[in-house]
Amino acid sequence: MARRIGLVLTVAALAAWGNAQPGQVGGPVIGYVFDGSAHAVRPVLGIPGAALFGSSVTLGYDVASASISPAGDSAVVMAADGSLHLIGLSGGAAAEISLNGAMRKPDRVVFSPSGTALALITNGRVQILSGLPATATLAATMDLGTAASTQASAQGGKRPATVFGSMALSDDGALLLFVANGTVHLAGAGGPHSFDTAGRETVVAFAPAGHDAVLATKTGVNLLRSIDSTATPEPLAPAAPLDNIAGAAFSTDGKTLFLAGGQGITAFDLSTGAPTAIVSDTIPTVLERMGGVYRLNDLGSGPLWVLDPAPGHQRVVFVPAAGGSE
Amino acid sequence: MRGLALLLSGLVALPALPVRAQDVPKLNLVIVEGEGAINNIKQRTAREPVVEVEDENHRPVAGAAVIFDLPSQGASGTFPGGGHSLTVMTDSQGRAVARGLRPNNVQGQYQIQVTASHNGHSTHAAINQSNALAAGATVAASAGISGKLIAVIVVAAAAAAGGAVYATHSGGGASTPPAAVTIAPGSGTVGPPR
Repeated sequence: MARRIGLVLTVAALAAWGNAQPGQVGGPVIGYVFDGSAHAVRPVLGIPGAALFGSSVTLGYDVASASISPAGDSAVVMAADGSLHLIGLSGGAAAEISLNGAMRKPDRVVFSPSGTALALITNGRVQILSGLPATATLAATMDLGTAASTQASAQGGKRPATVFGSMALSDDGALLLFVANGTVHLAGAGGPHSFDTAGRETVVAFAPAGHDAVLATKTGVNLLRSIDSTATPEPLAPAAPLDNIAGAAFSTDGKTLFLAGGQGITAFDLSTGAPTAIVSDTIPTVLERMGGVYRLNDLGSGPLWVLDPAPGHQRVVFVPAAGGSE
Repeated sequence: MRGLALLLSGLVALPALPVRAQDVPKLNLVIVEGEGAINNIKQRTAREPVVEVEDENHRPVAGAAVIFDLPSQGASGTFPGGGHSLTVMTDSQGRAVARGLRPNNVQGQYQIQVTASHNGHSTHAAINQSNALAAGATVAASAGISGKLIAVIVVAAAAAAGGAVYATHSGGGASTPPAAVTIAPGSGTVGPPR
């Protein structure tokens, strides 16, 4: 009871503080989130279980879309005027980072698990930037177009359009895992190599600071340590059947794998493979690291659900609906 | 004291127990389709290799990882994505299909190296294929069978192995006939009702 009162008082104090000091951010920042209704990037203030949205980060332009680094220290922002920006984030303030040579309108932005590398993707063409956030450098380019070759084309049929699915980039920017037309491909230093997951919807993710990766389908979860063309998948058994996999992400120390699927979340201890089901009051639609927590949905009119990954106390909590924005 | 001496001598007299090597379950890799295939360079079509992973009792192993490796030079091919290697997990029947194989434009014979792994154990085999121009490939395709495959089938039939080629843990790809099973009647006992 005392704990609950404490949480309520903390939320109330944060709310009063946020209202009293518009445009300023202080205290703990859990992470940042794109608020589509406010056309802005907003910080999430407080601690998991007692958090609220802070004022919009001042950028000087309206935001059409934004991809936030998992570490919360940078973001790729598409402005309403169509210009692309890479910004550094710290303490609720933003600073523009040079994006020399980068494509202007990527269809997709993929951050590495620690946010040290970034992939910009348009029509199967990829630019990889590394050294984020301080020294963002265009490190490599690659073409994923060859992944369009399919069984149909091999049989002389008309080549269908490539449908890209889940993508993941390693922290050093050297490896890109992507799903195209139902097959998982490894591109970059360790590739090309393919993983046939029998056309099932596959979610891929890299672990931080290395090349360990996971391929997850509703029929199986496979861990690949130091992924390359010779890596042998290690099956992981989920605690419950996975109807739909919303996302996969590793803990920041790489020792735990979180998988959102079915009706909830499973945490795998990667030293033993043991799964633990985490009770959730919401059905996750995404699973993306957001600073110190993992975001389980996109911010809309309702609350933002997050997974607090604290070892031994893993739980799902929410940040109250954003409401208006400054 | 004398009893103790007897006991000790008895212990010494016990036969030493054999040290058993740790039982290592073997994997078998069965080439189901693709052995001896002649692929049509012109049409860029290939017979997709199909393998089956079995345990030592010839039961299918689901969830095993099978890596198909193509030569990086000379007569060869590519998998979807342009790579020379493909990892496939076996299905509930223990089967893995190397889908999307396309021959390159170099004529000649080559081997697809296949490695299957499961629970820390692995086994290896090779699938022989060749790339040919349309004419030769058409003949082979119309026959639906290659000379090498015929040989495989003959060997397999002789071994009553159902047309499958078994490669054991040591590799090699030689066929291994199934062990003979003998069923003998037991000795029944009949007595008066109790």
